[in-house]
Amino acid sequence: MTTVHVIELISQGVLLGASYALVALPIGLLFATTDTVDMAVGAYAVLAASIAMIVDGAAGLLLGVGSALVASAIVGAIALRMNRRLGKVDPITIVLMTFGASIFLESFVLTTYGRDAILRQNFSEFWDLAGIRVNPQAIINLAVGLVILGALSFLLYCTPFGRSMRASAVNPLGALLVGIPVHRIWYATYLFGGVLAGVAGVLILNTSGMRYDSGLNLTTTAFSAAILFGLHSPARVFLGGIAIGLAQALCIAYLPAAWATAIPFVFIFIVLAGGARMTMRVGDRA
Amino acid sequence: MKLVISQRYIPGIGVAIAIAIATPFVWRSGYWLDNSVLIAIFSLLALSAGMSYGQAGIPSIATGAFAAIGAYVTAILATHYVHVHYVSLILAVGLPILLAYPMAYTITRLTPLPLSIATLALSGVLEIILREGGSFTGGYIGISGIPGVPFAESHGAIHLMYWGVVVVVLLVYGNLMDSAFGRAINAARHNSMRAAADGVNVRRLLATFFALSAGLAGLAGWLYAHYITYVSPDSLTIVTSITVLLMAVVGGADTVIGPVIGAALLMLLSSHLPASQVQGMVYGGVLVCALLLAPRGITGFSWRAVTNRLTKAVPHSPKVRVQSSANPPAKPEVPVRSPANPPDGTGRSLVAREIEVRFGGVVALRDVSFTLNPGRIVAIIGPNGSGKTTLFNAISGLARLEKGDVLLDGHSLRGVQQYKRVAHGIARTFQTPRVDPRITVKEAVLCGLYPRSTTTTVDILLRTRKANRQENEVDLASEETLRDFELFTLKDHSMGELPMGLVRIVDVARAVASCPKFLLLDEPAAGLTRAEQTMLARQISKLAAQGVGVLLVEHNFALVRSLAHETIVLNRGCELLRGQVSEIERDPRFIQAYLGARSARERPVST
Repeated sequence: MTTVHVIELISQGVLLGASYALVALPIGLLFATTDTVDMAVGAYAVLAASIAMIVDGAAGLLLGVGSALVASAIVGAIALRMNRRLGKVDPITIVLMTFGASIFLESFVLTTYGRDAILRQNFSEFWDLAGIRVNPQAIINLAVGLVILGALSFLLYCTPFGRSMRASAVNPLGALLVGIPVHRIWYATYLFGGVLAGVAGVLILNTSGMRYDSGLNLTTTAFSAAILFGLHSPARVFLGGIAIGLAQALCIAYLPAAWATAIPFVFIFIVLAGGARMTMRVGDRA
Repeated sequence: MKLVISQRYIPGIGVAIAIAIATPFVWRSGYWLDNSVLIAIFSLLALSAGMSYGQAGIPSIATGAFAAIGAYVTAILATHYVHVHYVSLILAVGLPILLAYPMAYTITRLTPLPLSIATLALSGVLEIILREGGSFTGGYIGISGIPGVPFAESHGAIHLMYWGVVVVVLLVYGNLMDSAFGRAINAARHNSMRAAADGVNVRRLLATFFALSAGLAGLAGWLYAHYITYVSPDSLTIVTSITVLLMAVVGGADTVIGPVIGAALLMLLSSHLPASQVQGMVYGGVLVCALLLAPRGITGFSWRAVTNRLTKAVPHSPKVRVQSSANPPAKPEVPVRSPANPPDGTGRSLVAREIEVRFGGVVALRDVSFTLNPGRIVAIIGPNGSGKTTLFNAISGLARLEKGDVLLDGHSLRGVQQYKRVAHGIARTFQTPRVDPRITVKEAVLCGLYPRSTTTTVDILLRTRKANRQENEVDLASEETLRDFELFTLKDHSMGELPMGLVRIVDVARAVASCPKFLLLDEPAAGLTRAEQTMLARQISKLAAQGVGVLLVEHNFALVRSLAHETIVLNRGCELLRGQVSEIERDPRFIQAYLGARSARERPVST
């Protein structure tokens, strides 16, 4: 195996990983703030991609991301409606609800778009950088990912809104009592999920593509990316996404095609069984 | 002789009667018989989903996958090897259990969410394996020519047999829920930390429920394969899992009968649905709406609240009155519980040795030591944030020790998990009681009796004589504890109806019910009336007289003064003083820490 080959693999992994990271970011954020997961984030991505596929050009991209935002706004509203009284509803019930939403969106894309692959290639030629073939899309994916990561980190750590968000993650009731509009912050987190998943969807559309039923797989992969290195900082979540992308790229390169698709799942098991240090506030004032 | 049907058998008997009534109507119609058999199969799948979601709180997306394993096992055995029904049935039920138990045990921490994600991944892996399995699994085409249902030739016979299986499963499920396991899983779903404080090994219990639900799905898969006589990767998929989860939710996932009702309802509805493409939208939409409007399903839905709202009536809420200690309830002679420890307490003690607990950089406790002997009451006092509750968490195994050790009867408890410490005789209450408001007072106390039940899962499922005897014993013990704490007249009230003071007393009774050697009470008297305080103080001294060592965190000085043999004052995680209350309350250092120096001159310490 040559160095060139290794670098090409890495570029392939980053290509996949950056878009996983974009879906993983809101998953980590939402889990840290509300103890729930929006299982429909993958479906938002598929929705955005299918619309960007139908409508050409920049309008399509905007419409796609916009539709993901609308979908997340509806799901978020339902989730908050269920959780309007803090601690009244088991978080897992809300997870199940978002699951239903995911199935709904999947079926919606199936009926409107159909079973065809949702895929577009913008770049027919790879860049040749000193003998190494690099897909320009990898650079775009990584750049978009890093910009969003930077913006999110800035928002979380350098703005009053971010401070409120972190406060409500640590102790929702306490945050509510000191006047932080916790519910509004949660809603904003859902909307973040919609926008980031929409952007990720558009990126994946131009990378490896997807199908109408890719949503849940995407959520699953992103979830394990989010918990791989811990979900309390956006940078860790992002790295988790890249790591999973690299692992998948390796599998695709060295395993028969069909089995390669199974490997991410196996990887997820390992992550969940081994490193799933979830947010547990053990030992608080009981 | 009066025939008494236990409540736990009502779902099973109800379904048996419903089927007996329906059978003559469907007997001649092939269409309805076919539907009926499918409803029976989906009832079993929905029961499996209900067990894992409704009881254990794990939304499993692998019900279809476990059923597919059951179906494929019998299909592969029948077509590739020799076919023996018993063997294939045992494997179809056993393999999912063997797969599900370790999966749930390794992945479940305090929240079931990762396991739920893992079930999704499992479905994905299994589907790929089935498609890529070549001639072994039949690949994309699947396996046909599976032999028909054993012992049942006609559709009518299959209908009776499959519903018979459903009835048996309902009876066994009823047994399971009316047992220590059933109560414990409900407590764990509501608050896993509270359940662990009852002595429940939450991880094992969740894994057991998940494994049983997987076994049930395997059974349904086996029945499916022999009825349809054909399986393919598209037969039992993620969509199946979601459909049956939806059935369970619509019917009421946390009830025994709910999933069957949900299955019947949705199966009858789904035959009127348009193209399969839209099905996802219908199922997804119904799931969202059901969870939004009636998260507990048809059977769990509070119809009374709706009728109340419609008629603008004030919701009915029974008045709870505190029994004054002057008028104690009639107390029949119950044998005095054998003391947990002989009062002389030879060599038995709970010792904390130079405990240090840190939360990140914050030192919550440093160099705290004490010895609690049987029959002694040691009070821990100190201002807010001085580490009292952290000390409790350290002793009961919730907080990790940085340094030092906790010794029980001379044995280190390092690395011993919380639930095991309860079994060793260290019970605790919580400053904020974490009770499920829906359970009754008696059920709450029964939860505390969990460590006393020693029956195995099989005993419980089949409700053997041993299990029955144990249930009776536990029932008597709970009523004895209820009488001790003057709660007997309230035993059928739900916890949500009680005022906070009584909730605390129930929490103490729950901890006492486990017959602890050492009892850790975290502010038990906060919010209690004078009469309740007196009663509580009497109970605590009685327990001490029986040889129980009591560690008491309390701000109520009168109580501390009347009970404590020794008092330890904590301040900023360190021991400030120790000794008799009368000496401590005059010590300027104590006054400084507790009240501040200036106010000490102005206000004498009193209650």
